[in-house]
Amino acid sequence: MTRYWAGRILQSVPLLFFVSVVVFGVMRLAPGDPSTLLADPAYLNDAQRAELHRSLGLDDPLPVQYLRTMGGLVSGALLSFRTGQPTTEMLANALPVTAAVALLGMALAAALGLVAGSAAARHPGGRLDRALGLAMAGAIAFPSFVLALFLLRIFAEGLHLLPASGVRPLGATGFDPLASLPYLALPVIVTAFPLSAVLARYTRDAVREALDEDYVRTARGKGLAPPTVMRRHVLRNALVAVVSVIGTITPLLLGGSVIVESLFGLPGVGRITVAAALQRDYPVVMTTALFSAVLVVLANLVTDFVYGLVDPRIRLA
Amino acid sequence: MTREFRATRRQVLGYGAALGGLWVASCVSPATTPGVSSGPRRGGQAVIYINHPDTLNPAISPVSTTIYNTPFFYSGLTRPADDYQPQPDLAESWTVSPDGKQFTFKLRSGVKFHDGQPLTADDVKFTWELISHPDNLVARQIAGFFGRIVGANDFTAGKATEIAGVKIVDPLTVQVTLTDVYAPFLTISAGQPIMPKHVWRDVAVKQLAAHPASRKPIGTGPFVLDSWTQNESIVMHAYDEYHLGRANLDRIISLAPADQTAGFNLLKSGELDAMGLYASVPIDNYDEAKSDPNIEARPVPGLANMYAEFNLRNPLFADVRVRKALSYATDRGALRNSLWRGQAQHINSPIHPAFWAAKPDTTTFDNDPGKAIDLFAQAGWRRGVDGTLEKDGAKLRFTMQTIQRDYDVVLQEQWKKVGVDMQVARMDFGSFWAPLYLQGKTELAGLNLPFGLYLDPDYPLTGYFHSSLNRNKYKNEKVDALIGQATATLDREQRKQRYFDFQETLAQDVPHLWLGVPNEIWGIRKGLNVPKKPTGYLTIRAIKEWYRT
Repeated sequence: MTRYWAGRILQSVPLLFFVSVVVFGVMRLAPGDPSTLLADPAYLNDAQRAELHRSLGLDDPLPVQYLRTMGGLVSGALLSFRTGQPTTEMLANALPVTAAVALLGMALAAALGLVAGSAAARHPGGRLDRALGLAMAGAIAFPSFVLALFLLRIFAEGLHLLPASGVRPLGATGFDPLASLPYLALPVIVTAFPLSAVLARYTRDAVREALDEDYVRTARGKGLAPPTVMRRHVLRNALVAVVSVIGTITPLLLGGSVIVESLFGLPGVGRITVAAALQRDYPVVMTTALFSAVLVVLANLVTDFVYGLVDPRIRLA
Repeated sequence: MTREFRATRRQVLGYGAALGGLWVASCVSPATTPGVSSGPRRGGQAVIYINHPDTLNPAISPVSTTIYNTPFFYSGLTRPADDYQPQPDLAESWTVSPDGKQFTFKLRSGVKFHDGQPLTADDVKFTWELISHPDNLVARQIAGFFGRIVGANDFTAGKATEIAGVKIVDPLTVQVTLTDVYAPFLTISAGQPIMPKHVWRDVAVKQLAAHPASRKPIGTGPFVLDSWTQNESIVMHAYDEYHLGRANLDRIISLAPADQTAGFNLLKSGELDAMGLYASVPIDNYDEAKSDPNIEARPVPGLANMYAEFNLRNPLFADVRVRKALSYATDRGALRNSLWRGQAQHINSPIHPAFWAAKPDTTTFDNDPGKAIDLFAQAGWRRGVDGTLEKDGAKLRFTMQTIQRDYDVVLQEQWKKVGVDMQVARMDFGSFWAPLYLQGKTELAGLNLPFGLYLDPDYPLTGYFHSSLNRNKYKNEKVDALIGQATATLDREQRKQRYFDFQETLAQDVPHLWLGVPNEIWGIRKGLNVPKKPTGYLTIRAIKEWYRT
């Protein structure tokens, strides 16, 4: 067992290496020299321009630059070209917001998806099933930025129920979950909305499949109450399929954070990444991109691990 | 240089009277005493949106966001009046030697940095040497403002251990000797924020950006920083011992909404009190802002002049008749009225219309398609069967590489009418700036000139228009000479004449097409009084005078 997990973790090392090389390479392929964006070259002579370029470490061969970047990432000594701060510090400052929205969004999506999906599955082809099916298709097709604008219009501008922007009350520092909840509400809903529809569809199909299984008929036949059958036999089996989806939507969640953070003015990882990419702040882009890659790899590992919890057969295999 | 923005109007002619009045008002506005009913009320807070900087260290960043965010926390020896005449700030007075090359600044006594340490002449010399330090590469642009001090270039080149021309006479007197007369010294150079030597003396110059004080500034300015959360908020409180009198507001919170539209929503919902500069009300929301009884929508001349620059390496554009013809084919009034909804002004020059040196009636070859066609004909270009101009079998076809995503297509449309086939290549700043523009590889460059942030008209001229530094190979010896001569006297009238001459000479050569200076629309919520100033930057510089009604 331990060997299996050790193997899985080891497998992710070459994957992350590959991702880091690709991100590093793509950043360098983008036209534009970071040193010319730091200081107006009109005021530098050629020697000074060259010196500035060199001082950012951009003169070294690419493999050297790559190794230095990765070393700096691990040691935390990698500095942003633009702000001079350690990139890991910038990431650490921005992460709680992104993580809160992503985790709460995922939780809300899972809750909504499971409830809607299993409700729809109970009477396949019934009115509720068709209505939910339509709603799910709509939710997946509906662009989340439009939803965000609608919600802002209604809850922030119209009813003044929820704040339109930010993550905590004005002037507050630190993180007080209760005080921040109203600020996170809309971003979490926007994050959860399309995911919940995806999850609901998977849940519905999985539950329907499970409902047709022999063991469910047997359970019913031996006189178990329908809610018990649902909980103990149907949902538990259907969950395996659903859990696997949660693993695959983690990248969506990270990509979506860019849009959600921009719309709601959240000081998260998505925003620093976009700004850094436009400013050719290579160290920051490397840091956030690699962090995302690690997250996705981790999410997949966790998914496989949770598989084992919900389905003992996988654990033994 | 940040070149993304929205900007502004306000007619130049209106200034004279307004400026005089404001200047008098700002001079006599006394430090208010609590309990006295007249004058601005003290207390309360303002939530503002003006874009956050990358760093709050003014000795390393020539970027606009740093320039307009540092005056909250720092002061210079001088500060600008509304007509840009230098006023006493940390220096309570100064004298000029008869030859105009030596300034003696007398510092105000009793000024303390936010950490309680007194300001002395040592700090002045230290700051200027920090900026000019050989290792401080990103500050070279700022160091240029000190390059005329005797010995400054030797110091920057690493050939001297100090700038010889800066002499500390006594703890409150600093004397600076220049190699030649340089008028911007009193405004730009002496206006540079003075930093505390005791905080920075032991920091290696290469580590300046990473030092915590680059994010938590210790200066002598009207506000003290409480906290700065990236992409979220900068919180500051009034400095009780500010040497020009405590600010009226107790606290300022500077937010970082995702964009101007998000900011405008906050303004409407009352979560924001004021937005301006590059973060002004989007022009699309101007009417909405105007009709909101709780919001004042105030147009202020913007920080940038939209322009297209001909690359004279291209034989097509080397012909002044073609440049002039394209200028005639351009309808600037249509740009102003449709694209900028009337919220822009036009000045045919690289000098900001708020400056005393601006010549508002500089000749403009504008909107006369007939003359355009004549000039093209003189240059040998005649319409072919498909309506496009042709010469020796080749069509008049070129590409505009642009970072401006607005006027490019309007020009394309306008020029098509006289037979010009222009392609538009829109790009982000990083892709445009170093790879194309700086290499002289653009054909027609679409960009903007940031010129409303600086305290002397010289600022963008030397770097962008002198033939030794410009990118488009334009060279006119008279223009070069005038740029130099305009800073070589302290007499403002003489300077003005030289700048007028410069602007007219440049306009006749048409190396650029000046298209308009879009206004910033400041959005100010009822309950906050923001003094009216000639530019958004000067509005921020007057932060001490803002008050809650």
